[in-house]
Amino acid sequence: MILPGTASLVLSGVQELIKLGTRIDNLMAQRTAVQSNLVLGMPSLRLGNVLAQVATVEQALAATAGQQPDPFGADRAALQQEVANPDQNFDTLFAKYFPDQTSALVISPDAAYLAQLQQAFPGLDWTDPGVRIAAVALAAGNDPTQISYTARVALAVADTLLEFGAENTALFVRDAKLQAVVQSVLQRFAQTDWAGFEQWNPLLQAALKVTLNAALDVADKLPDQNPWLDGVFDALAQARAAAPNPDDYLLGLMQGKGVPLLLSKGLLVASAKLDDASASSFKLVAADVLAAAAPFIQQQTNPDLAQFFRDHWGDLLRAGLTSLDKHGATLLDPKQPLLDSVLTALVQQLSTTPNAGFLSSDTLYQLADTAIGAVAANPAELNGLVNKPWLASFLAAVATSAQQLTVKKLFTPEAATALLQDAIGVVAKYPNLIVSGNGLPVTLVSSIFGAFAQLPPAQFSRLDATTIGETTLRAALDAIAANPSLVSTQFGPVVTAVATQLANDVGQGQFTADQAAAVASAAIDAIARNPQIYAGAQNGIASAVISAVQKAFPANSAWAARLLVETAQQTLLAVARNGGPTVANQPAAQLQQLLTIVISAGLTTAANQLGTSTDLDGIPPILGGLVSQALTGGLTVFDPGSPQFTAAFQAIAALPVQK
Amino acid sequence: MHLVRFPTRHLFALVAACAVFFAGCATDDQVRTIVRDSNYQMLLATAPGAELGAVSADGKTNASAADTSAQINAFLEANKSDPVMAAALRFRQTLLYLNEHAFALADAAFKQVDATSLRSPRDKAIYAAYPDLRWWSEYALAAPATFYSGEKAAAIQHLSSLAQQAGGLAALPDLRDYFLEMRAWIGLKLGLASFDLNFSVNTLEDAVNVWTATFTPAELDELVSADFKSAKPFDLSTRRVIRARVLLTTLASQTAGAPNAKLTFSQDAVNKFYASLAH
Repeated sequence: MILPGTASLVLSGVQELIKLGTRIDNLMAQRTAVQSNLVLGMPSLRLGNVLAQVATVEQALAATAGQQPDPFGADRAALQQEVANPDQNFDTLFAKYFPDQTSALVISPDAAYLAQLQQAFPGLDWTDPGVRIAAVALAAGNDPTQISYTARVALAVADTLLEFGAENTALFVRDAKLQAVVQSVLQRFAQTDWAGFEQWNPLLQAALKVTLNAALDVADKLPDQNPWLDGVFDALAQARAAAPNPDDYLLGLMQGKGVPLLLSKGLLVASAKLDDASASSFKLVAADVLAAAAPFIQQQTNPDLAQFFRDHWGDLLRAGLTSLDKHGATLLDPKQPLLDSVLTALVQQLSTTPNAGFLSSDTLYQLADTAIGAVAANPAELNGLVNKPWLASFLAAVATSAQQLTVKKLFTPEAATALLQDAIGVVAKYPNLIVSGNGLPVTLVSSIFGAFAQLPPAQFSRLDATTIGETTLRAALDAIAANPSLVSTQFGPVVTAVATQLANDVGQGQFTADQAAAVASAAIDAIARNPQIYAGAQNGIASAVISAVQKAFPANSAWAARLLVETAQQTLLAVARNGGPTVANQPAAQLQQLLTIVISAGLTTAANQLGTSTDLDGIPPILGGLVSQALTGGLTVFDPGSPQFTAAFQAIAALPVQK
Repeated sequence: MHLVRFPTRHLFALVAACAVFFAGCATDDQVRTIVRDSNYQMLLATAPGAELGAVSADGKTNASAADTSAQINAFLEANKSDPVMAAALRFRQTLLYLNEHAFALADAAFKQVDATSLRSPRDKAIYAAYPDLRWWSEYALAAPATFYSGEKAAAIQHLSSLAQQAGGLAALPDLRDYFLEMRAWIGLKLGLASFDLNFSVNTLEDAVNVWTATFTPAELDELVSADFKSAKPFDLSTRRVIRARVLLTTLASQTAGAPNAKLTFSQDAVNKFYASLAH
């Protein structure tokens, strides 16, 4: 790390550079002109082995001596003189009499080299000028005496600032708070090691870039001091020092997907909420998280895991930061280091969680935030946290759900994340659910979409799956959010069974996806209204009701499209309100049979009563009423032609509709 | 609002802003274009006939050497205030002309280079060796006996000069190698052009020895084995090994059956490789 004084000097240099507005681009242009690679060709040359040529001439002269006519004619004497002491005339004479051999080799060393290089490395695109330039270019070289250390670092900083555009660069010149942010980066990521400048400069520039991006987002709210930022950077510098390949390791961490959000949130939230002491404690947390993740990041055998932690260490710390905002700095209490324990436990658990790689940055953040919230609400869980089964189950459920939503590409990544976050959000409202091992809202995601995955694909389109699945899931989450006690019932399996049944029905053309989604919502509403009936001891009641309604509508019924969904709703409600004794005493199959008979009779009667006692919209509530009477024993005759049934129909039609 | 992140070293926004903000300022983009085009033109000269793709992503450019040179002139005319940038670009122009065998233009450009403003160690070293490069560019294609009779003394002087220039370039290994290779080719031409057997043999051996004396054991091994499986295409080692193989192969083909074919070099690996070639 460089000293604060040096950092100030660098910053002052940067400001001077930038204030010299008209000089900025010149400086960049100058650097390009001076430091760019240079292609300098090796000249082509003409070769000829004169000793061999002289020998050739001598042999020819000897072989033709006395020959008439003399093939060398008047030049014989000159040639004899040239072989004794060749000069420039030799080339002319040799060319005249030995034209085949005169085309002495003209060679291009560069072309010959590139041809051989191409043979040695056939996998490269040798028509790409960039590739050829790389093979022949000469580097400009470094001359440390030409530019001072401070000026060079200043240029590197100026270079990075310039990438943000003139407006932000000008802002930097004016804003002391932004300069403080840069100073913080400089002090941690610039080194006094001059010789290693080329190695650590990319890290410095990457750190500056990501930090400035975050800082500029919240520039108007930046505090004068930022102990939190210093703390996180100190932790990173500490991690760098401990790594076998320090700069590469840290560059990987800085380029993690979650880092920009961590910094922007951190700059905004932490400075307002954390005092110096808390910031210092947070630094220890950050250092511990990085230390816990380091073995996974640095090991070579599992590159996916290494990349996962490079991408997500920032999300974990961001969750820690948010939790401080929610729960206060007591999470940092050295006597009970809750935040540290949860985050390091999460690192350990995530390293062995199958499918963790499917977690998006935002999902992981929310997951960590929820886990911290759960432990904060149950501090006793801190003991042996890393081995708590509930934590492992929770992570596994979220990761498996993320995998279910991602692998089949049912949703866009953003939609999948939103859906999963809604599920985690319900759990987060009731942290005890997680600690007690009841992560139902999250497991519902994987159980519903897992069940869908088992259906024959030919019968079931992706669009159908998303429509039914998402509607069912959101309705179920709303129900649990309103009544968390549902998690201790058979709510989850019943919802999954209903969704699967409806998906299957859509596949067989008995429902449209929209109808199925509406029926699923109605079923969940009914289950929530009376979990004892629908999610109690007897299985399959909701499914039986839905099947009964389906069967009661004649095939290709003209009314089905209009009345099916509402009839299902009314029937489900009627059973919820009046079906207790029947459900207690009869199996689901008998209930289904009874309901089919009642609704069929009701529909037959409705055809005769239309325009007399009801209109089309009035039919479903009347059918619901008939079902209620049948369930309570008030209606025992189900012949649609009988006066009793018709009277019951008319009586219900005359009643106000019950909501 | 989240800021747009610009790719490293792409200052398009700055350039646009400059147009309004700092009217009349020189642009880095212009210099980048000059560098790109001049490198491309010099590359074309190194591998005539090679199928090369477009040099720019948009496929528009590939100015001729004359265009690039005119571009440099126009740029420097418009930006006279920066002697460092001017020296670097003027020297680049010099080498571009030299590459094109436009010697008068090269000399004129060279005279305009302010040597005290050259900054990169590479440019300074090439500037110092300009007479050597200039001479070799002019005479490399001369017919052998003409070269020997007219340029022998100059060649010997340039062999010495290049060895001296290369000696001070430990920090610029690629340029040192360039000078030593050039020296080796000069030695090859001179040695082969001589009808004096002893001079020929000594010159040829010296040409190769001075260059290959800088080779590492691994490079010498690779020279013989030509095993580039674990080599990197753009490493200097790969470059010099392949280039040395080109030179030695050329030498062997020229001396085949001639009195100066029996050569003994100072490196065993070089002898081994040379012996493996038909000559």
